[in-house]
Amino acid sequence: MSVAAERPKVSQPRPFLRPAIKEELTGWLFASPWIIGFLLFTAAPMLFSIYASFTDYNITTTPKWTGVANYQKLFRDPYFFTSLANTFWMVIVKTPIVIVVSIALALLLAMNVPGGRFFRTVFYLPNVLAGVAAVFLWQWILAPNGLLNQALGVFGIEGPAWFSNPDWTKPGLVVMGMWWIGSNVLIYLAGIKGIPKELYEAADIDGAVGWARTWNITLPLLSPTIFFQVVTGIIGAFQIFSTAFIISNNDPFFASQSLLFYVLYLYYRAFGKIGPAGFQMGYASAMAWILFVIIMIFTLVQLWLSKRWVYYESEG
Amino acid sequence: MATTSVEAGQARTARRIGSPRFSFGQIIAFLILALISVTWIVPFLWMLSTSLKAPQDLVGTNFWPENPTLEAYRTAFFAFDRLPQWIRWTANTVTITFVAVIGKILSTTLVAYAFARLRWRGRDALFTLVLATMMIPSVVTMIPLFIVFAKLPAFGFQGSPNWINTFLPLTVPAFTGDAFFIFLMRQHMRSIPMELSEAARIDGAGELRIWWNIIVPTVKPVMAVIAIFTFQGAWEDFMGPLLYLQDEAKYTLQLGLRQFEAAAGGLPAWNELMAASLVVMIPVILVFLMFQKYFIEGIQLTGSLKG
Amino acid sequence: MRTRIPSMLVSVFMLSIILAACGGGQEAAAPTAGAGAAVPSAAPPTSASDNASSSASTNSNANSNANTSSDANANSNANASANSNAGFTLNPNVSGTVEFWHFWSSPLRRTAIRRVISVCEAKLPNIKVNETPKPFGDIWTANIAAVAAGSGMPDVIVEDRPQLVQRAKDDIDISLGDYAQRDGIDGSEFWPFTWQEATVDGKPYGIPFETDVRVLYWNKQAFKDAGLDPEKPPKTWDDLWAYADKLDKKNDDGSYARIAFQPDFGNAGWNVWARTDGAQLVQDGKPAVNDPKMIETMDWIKKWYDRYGGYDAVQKFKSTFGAPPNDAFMSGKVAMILDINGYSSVLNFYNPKVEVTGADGKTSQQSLDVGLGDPPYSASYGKPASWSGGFALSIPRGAKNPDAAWEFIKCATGPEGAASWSRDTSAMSANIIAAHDPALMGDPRWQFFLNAMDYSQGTTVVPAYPNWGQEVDKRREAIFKGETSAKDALDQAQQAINAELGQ
Repeated sequence: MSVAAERPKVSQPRPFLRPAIKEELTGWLFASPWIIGFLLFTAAPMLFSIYASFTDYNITTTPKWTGVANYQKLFRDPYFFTSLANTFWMVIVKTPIVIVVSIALALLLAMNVPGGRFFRTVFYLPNVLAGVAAVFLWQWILAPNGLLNQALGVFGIEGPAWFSNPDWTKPGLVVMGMWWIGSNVLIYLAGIKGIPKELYEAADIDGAVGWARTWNITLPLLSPTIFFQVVTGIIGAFQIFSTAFIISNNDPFFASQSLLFYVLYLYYRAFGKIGPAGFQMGYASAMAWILFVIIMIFTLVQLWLSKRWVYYESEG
Repeated sequence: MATTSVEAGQARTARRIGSPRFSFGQIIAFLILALISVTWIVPFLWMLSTSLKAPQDLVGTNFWPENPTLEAYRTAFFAFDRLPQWIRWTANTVTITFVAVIGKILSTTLVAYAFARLRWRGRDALFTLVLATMMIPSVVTMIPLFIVFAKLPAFGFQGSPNWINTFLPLTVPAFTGDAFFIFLMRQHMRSIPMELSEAARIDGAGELRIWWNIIVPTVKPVMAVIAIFTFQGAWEDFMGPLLYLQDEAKYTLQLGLRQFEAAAGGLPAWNELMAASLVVMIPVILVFLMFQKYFIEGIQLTGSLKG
Repeated sequence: MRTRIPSMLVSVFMLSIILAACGGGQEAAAPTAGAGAAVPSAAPPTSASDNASSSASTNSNANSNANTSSDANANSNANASANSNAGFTLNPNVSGTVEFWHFWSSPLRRTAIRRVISVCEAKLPNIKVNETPKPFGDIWTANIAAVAAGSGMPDVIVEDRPQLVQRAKDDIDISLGDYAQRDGIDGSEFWPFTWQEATVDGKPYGIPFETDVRVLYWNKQAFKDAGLDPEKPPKTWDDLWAYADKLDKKNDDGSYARIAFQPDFGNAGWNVWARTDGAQLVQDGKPAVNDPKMIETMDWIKKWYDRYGGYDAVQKFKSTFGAPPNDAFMSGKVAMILDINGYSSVLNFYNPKVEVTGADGKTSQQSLDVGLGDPPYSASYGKPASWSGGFALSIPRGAKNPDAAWEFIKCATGPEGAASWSRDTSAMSANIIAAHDPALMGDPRWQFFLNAMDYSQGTTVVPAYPNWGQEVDKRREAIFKGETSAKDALDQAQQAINAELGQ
C-alpha cells in the first residue's frame, strides 16, 4: 500500500528514474536472505510434503501416487487416535493450570514486593534450560523414590511411579512443566504493568478494592495476553517431542504408549519404528498436514473468540 | 485479598508517617514468593547434591551426601577415555552455536532493514508472508526438510555428499532470518527517525553504509536479545542434531549427554548423569546470569508485541 | 562491556576450532577410533579381575595373530570341527576405512568391541575401523535416516536379526549373498537358528555375530540366609514359588528388603517364559499369541506381580535399582534372576561384595557367590527351555567401502573376532567354532551355557509382520495391572496381528 502511496514522489520530474529502480532492487536484495530461506526451507518442503502425503514414499524409491489412501488409513489408525488423545490431554490439563499458576505468580510479583527482581530471576532461570540435561534432572526428581515422592512422603502421601506408571506419565510432565512457567509469568507481569494507572485510580474512587480490582480491571485487560498464551500453549502441546522422546527412550511402546504424542508418532512412522511396513514418509507427511490443519483451526478459532470476548482497551 | 488491600491502604498511610517500608499485603506476597522460589531452586541443589554423592548414598533419604565426593565427575568426564569426546562435543556445540548466532543477527538486521526502511514493490505483501510463517509449526516441515537437506549438495564438506551428517542444516538456515526476530527488529528500526537515513543519503551514502553506520548501532540491544535466544536455542537443540548428525565425532553436547546416559544401559548412575548434566548446563546458566536483563526484556517484548 | 563480549565470543570460537582440529581433523586422530590406544585405559573400575578371562584373551589374541586361522580350527572341539572354517580366510589386500555402528556403549562392551577391532585390524593391515556407539533406541532409526538421505550411513551396522527381513524389504541393508557365495560361507559355521534369522529369501542380509541364552542366576548367600540348600536351584515354576516363601524378606516397615524373584527382571519377559511353558508362539508361520499356554504364562507372570503388591509396587521397587553394580541382583535385592549368559561377565567385571553374617554372628565382606541354573519351567512342559536373541553384522545400502566392510565382517564373525568378543563379554558367539574356543572351554560356566544352547530356541521370523510382539507388549501392563484378563488382551492382540497380516 505504502508503495502506491509513494509513487507520485517517484513520478515527479527528475533527470532519470534510476534511483527508484535502484531502491526497489536494494529492497529485494536486503530481504533476499529471508526470501531464499523461505523458498528453500519452508515453501519447497511444504509443497513437497503436500504431494508426498498423497503417495507411498520412502525417500529412496520414487513416490507412488496413492490418492487419499494415507488420509483414509489415518482415520482407521488406533495409534493416531492414541497420539491425538495424549496430546489433547496435555492441552486440556496443562494449559489451564499453567495459566492460573502463572497469573497468580505475576499478580504477586506485581505487588512490588521486596526482592522482586530476585524472584523474577529465579522463576525465569529454568526457561533457559530446555535441553537433555533438564529432562534427566526431572527424571531423577520424579523417580519413584525420587525427591518429589520423598517430599510427599513427609506429608504421608505415597507418590506414584511418575514416569513408569502409564496413568502418571502425563501428570508427571505437567508437574515437570511447572518449572518452566517463568516466561509466562514475565509476559503476564509485563501485561499487568502495562495497565494504565488511571484505571485503578478510577476504580479506587468507585470503591473497588483488592480482589474486585483484580477481577474487574486486571484480568479483563490481561485477556489479550491470556488468549495469546492459550494459543501458544496449544501449539506447544502439539509440538512436544524432545522431552517425551528422552523419557520414553525412543521406545514407542513405553508406558503403554501414554507418552506417544502426535509429533513423536509422526517421527516413529517416518522412520519406521511403528507399523509393519518400514518407514513411511508419505504417511508422515499426511500426519504433518493434519497437524497443520488442526493448529490453523485452533488459531483461527482463538482469533475469532478473542474478537468476541477479549476486552480491548479501546472499547472501554 | 480484600483485607490485604485494605491493609495495604493502611500501610500506605503508615508509610507516609515513616514507619514500615512495606505493607502487610506485600509481606505476605513476599513470603509466598519466597516459599515458591525455594521450590524453584531446590532442583538445582538436588542436582548438585546428587552429583556429589557416592553410589551407595543415592538410595538414601539424605538431601546432602554425608561424605561429598567428586568421584562422579571423575568417572563422567575422565574415566574410559571419555575426556577427548567431551571436548570434541563441546567444540562442536560452540562452533554450531557461534555460527548460528552470527547468522541470525546478520540476517535479521539485513532483512528487517528492507522491511522497515526501504520502499519497494511487494514489500508489504512479503511482510505479511513473514508473519504468516510464524504460524507454521516447525514439525510440519520436519520430514520434508530432512529430504531437502538430503538433496542439497555439500561437495564433501565434513566428508558428506549432501547436507545430512554435516553442521550445515544446523547453521545455514540461521542466515535466512527468523520470522519473529525480523518482526521484532523491524518494529525497532521503524522507531528510528527517517531523517537520519535521508540525511545520509543526501551525503551520498549507500544503503549498506546507512545500515551499518546508522541502524546497526541503534538496534544493538535488540541484537543482544536475538543473540542470547539464538544461543540458548542452538546450545540446547536436541531434535536437530538427532535428525541430522550421525558421526559420534560430530555430536553436540546434547547428543553426547544422551549417549552418555545410554552407556549405562537404561539404568543410569544418577550421580554421574547429574554431574555431566550440570556441567552441560553451566554455560547457559552463566550466560543467563550475565545477560539476565536481555533475557527478561526479550520475554517481555514477546508478550507485549504479541499480546 | 559492549566491546568485550564479541571479542570474548570470538576467542571462545577460535579455541573451539583449535580443539576441533586437534581432536580429529584427521580421522586417524579421532578419539573414539584408536582401539589399541583405548584398551589399556579401559581397565575396570573395580580392582577386581575379570581378568582371568581378559588376560587370557590378550594372550590368545597374540597367538591367533601369529597363527593361521586353520590352527584355531584344529583346536576347537569335536562338536565344532565338523564345520569348515575356510570361508573366513581374509584378504589382507582390501583397503579402506570402515565406519562401524554398534550400541555397546557400556565400558565393558565398548572395550571388548575395540579389542575385536584391533584383532581384525592386525589381520587386515589396510583397513581402518572407526567404531561409533549409538543409543540402543536410536541406532536403527539413525541408520534408516542416513541410508534414506544417502549420506552418513556406516559401512557396517549391528542389526537385530529378526528385523533383517524388514531391512531387506525396505532396501536398507544390502544382500551379502554374493560375498558369502564367493568366499564359501554357507551358514553351517553358525548356530542354525542364527543363520535362519539372518536369511531372507535364501540370502543372508547380515552375518550372525553373537547370540545369547537366558539362564537362572541365584544368590547363594541369600539361599543360605533363607535356610535353602545353596547348591540346589529351583527346577520348576512351583519350586520357584515355594523358594520365594523362604527368600522374601521384609523390613520392619513392611517394605521388601529382598524379593526372591520377578519374571520381568533381568533380561527376560513373556517371550522366554512362554517357551518354558511349551508355548508355540508361531504356528504355521503365523503368530499365535492367544495360545492357551501363552495365556497361562501371562497369568503366571501376573501372579508374581500380585505377590509383591501389584504392578506399581513392583515398579517402585525396581526404581531402587541402579546401574551395575547396584542392579537388582548385585545389590542383593532380588535373589534370583533370569539373564543372558553375558551377565556373567558383568558379574566378573564388578565383582560385587556382600555382607555375610557367619555362624559366630560376625559379619564379613565376601564376593557374591552366584549359581547358574536352567530357567525354571512349568510342570506341564516338564523340561527346561530358553530363548536366544542376538545380532548380526550388516552392510547398509550406500556404504562407501562395502568390500572393506565385508572383510571386517568376516573377521569379526569369524573364529577369532567372535571368540575375542565371547571371551570379553561372555556373549555366545554365533560362530560355533568360536563358541568352542579353548580359552572359553576352560570355564565351567561356559560349558553350562553351551549346554543351555541345546534347549534354547531362536526367534521364528514372520516376514509379513516381524514386529508382531508389539501387540503383546502394548497390552502387557494392562494384564499385569489386572485391568483386563490375559485371555481378553491376548485375543485382542491376536486380532490386531491378524488384521496386519490381512486375514
